[in-house]
Amino acid sequence: MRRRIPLVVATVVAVAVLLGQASPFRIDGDHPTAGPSWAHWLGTDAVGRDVLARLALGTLISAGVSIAATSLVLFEGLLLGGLAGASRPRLERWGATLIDLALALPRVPLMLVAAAWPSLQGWGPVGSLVRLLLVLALLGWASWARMVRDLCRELGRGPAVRTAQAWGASWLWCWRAHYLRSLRPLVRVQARSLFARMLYLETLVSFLGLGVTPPWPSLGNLAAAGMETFAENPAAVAAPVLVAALLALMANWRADPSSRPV
Amino acid sequence: MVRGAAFAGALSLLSFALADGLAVSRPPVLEPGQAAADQKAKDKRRSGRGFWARYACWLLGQRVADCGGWPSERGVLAGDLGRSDASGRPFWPEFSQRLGHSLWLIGPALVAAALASLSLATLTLSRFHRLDRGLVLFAVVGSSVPSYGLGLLAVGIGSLLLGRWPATAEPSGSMFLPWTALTLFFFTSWIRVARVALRDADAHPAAETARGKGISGARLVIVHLWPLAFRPVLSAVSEAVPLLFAGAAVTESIFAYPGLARWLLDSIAERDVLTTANLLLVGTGLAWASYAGVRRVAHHPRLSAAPAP
Repeated sequence: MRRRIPLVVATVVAVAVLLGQASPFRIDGDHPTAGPSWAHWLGTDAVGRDVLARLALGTLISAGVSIAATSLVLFEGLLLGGLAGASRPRLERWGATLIDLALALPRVPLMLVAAAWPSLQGWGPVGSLVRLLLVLALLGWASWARMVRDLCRELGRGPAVRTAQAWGASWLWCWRAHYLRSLRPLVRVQARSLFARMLYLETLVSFLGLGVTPPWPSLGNLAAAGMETFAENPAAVAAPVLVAALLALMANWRADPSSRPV
Repeated sequence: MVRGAAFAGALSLLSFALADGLAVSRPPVLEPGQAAADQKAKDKRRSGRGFWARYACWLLGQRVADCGGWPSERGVLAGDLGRSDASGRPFWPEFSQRLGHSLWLIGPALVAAALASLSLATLTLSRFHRLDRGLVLFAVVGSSVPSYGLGLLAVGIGSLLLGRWPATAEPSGSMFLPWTALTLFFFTSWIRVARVALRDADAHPAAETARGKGISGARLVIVHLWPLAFRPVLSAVSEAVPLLFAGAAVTESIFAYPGLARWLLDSIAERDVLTTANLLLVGTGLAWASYAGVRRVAHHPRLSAAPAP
């Protein structure tokens, strides 16, 4: 973690400098749909806003929403999966059924419809971010919860938990001392993998026009807006797609070392 | 039986509640291109009815006393899904037409991706280490590229750069670009699973015994490795069934293809509550059926007779 602090600081400084150079909302009426130039490194969009400045802000928004959604999903999965895997048989059965039902639902269509709800309209632009965050968190927990449930069931049958229970340890103590400790490496790996998935879903919903509401940028709605000026300025499409792919690649690469070429 | 009915009831309630939420606090303005009479009819249908009354109308149609003017006569329970608010067309003919279009888009891409991932994963088993490295790298990088990125890449290269294929797709026209984008999307998701499953199968005692007996390479793959790898691959694919929609939605949106996902997006944009609820209901039902079906096949005793690797 200590090694990553300079990287995070450098990214934040770079974004701040970029946002200081050109506002993501300022309209340059003289240069709409312009290609890359010294004034606008990645050109301008259809109404003359600087693509690079919007990309910087859009990256922050997409990454922020994805990180927040990942945290919520991790918590939900631990809670529901833990309850389903490390509790009484009746509760286990209900938990397993709930997880299976959630897994079988077509999450993307449900996500699209829920993201299009006109709720939280009074909150302004923050409303669309909160709505998107809630939708991602409510519909993305199932596979992680099942993983937690399976691991908890295995741990519950193991000698450590059984011995602790025989000594009269409470469920909460077992959960803290055995389950949570054993789940920690999995949480670390799964957080990266979930971040990549949440980023994909966030950008997908925004790309389809149902996520972050313009004029606020996100990597998804920037790519969709760039399609209008594809012929004049391909960078407006390529840059957000590339940034989204790089962020997901970094997360996937660290999450899944077994699949790297040896 | 009771569980199935409860599940179907929950699905229908979820579908209707989600779709009905689209219209809550809708500003009283006309959507572009929508006739005033249609808008008035929609508003009248909502006014004075609570959520449960609207849900009952949707389920039972005009048979409920309070549901005069509802666009479905017999209701969803009797299989009558009424008409679309936006186009005025009956639901089922439009659905069957669009389902055909979507299957024509997804089917060939699924088959091509499955064949390509299985063949390439088999090739990397014993030889071609460089191919294996390249393939894994491609899969990790490819699965990180968002599906709309793949679609846009296909349009950029195939249509704008080379100028060989159109940027839009129709069922009767050129489908090369959308098929390519979707095949890449599925391929990058499945190749890693197929590779790992085949490697596990290769280390299985049955495969080692067969190899020790001098079985030929092709026979080993067909008789032992593929059946052993079948279950994990199918299990992974079954989990990806609900995600198929994501790829299809993006591809249909980018290529303006008249499939089911595009219909759902259009009906969301037009706040067409009935069509959205109907599509969600049918979609969740189909997804559940396909998920359960694939799971059942994966755990079929004939197919799982061999001990898992």
